[in-house]
Amino acid sequence: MTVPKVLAGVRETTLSIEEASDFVDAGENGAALLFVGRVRNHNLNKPVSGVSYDVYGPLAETVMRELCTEAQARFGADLRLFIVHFKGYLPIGGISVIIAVGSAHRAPAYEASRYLIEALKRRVPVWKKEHYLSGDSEWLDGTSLV
Amino acid sequence: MRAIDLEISFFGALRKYERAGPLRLTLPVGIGLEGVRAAIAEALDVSAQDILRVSALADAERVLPSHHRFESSAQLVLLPPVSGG
Repeated sequence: MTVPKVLAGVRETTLSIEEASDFVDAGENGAALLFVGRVRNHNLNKPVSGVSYDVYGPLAETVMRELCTEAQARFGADLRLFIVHFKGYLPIGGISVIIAVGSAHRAPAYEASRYLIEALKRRVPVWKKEHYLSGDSEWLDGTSLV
Repeated sequence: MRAIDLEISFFGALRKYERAGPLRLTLPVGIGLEGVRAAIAEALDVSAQDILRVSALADAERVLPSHHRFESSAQLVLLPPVSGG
């Protein structure tokens, strides 16, 4: 049985660092790298209370799988890749995205992790609405897909 | 004239323009992407025009290219600039 090397998804439940770490772990790998995106308590000098994430799930998962295919083509076909984004509301400190990379060596793990998060921000259909301590909220500017 | 029905859902900052569910448009068979974009612009409030210009039309599989033509009814999504992570 072939073990899948890619897990790409959107979740409406708490993202698990342990699940990500377990997924990319393998006997042949000497490196496991985790990127964890969290909601911070400020943005552009405004105190933030939380963030709502809107996601178009079907296309988001398709694009995240494409990004993984691209990362394996660029940095190594044997990379194990986990990329999951949250959908819904998160308070300060909540985990919005986890990217984990398992690799025989550290260099491809760093490169693939950076590639995936930067590409996710530019290409995956996810939107952030920041909520401020003032009670206001606003959708953040982003990158056009046109 | 044969017609197709397009059902268009909105996301992110565009959600406020989805008043009573997805936007439904009946348009001629073979209409191009720009024709659909113009029909959406006509159907929405004038305040939506700036964000419409930078929003992409997509289906569940891909962002539709500018040369796309609609030969049958479809469910689409309108995606404003993305800001995930």
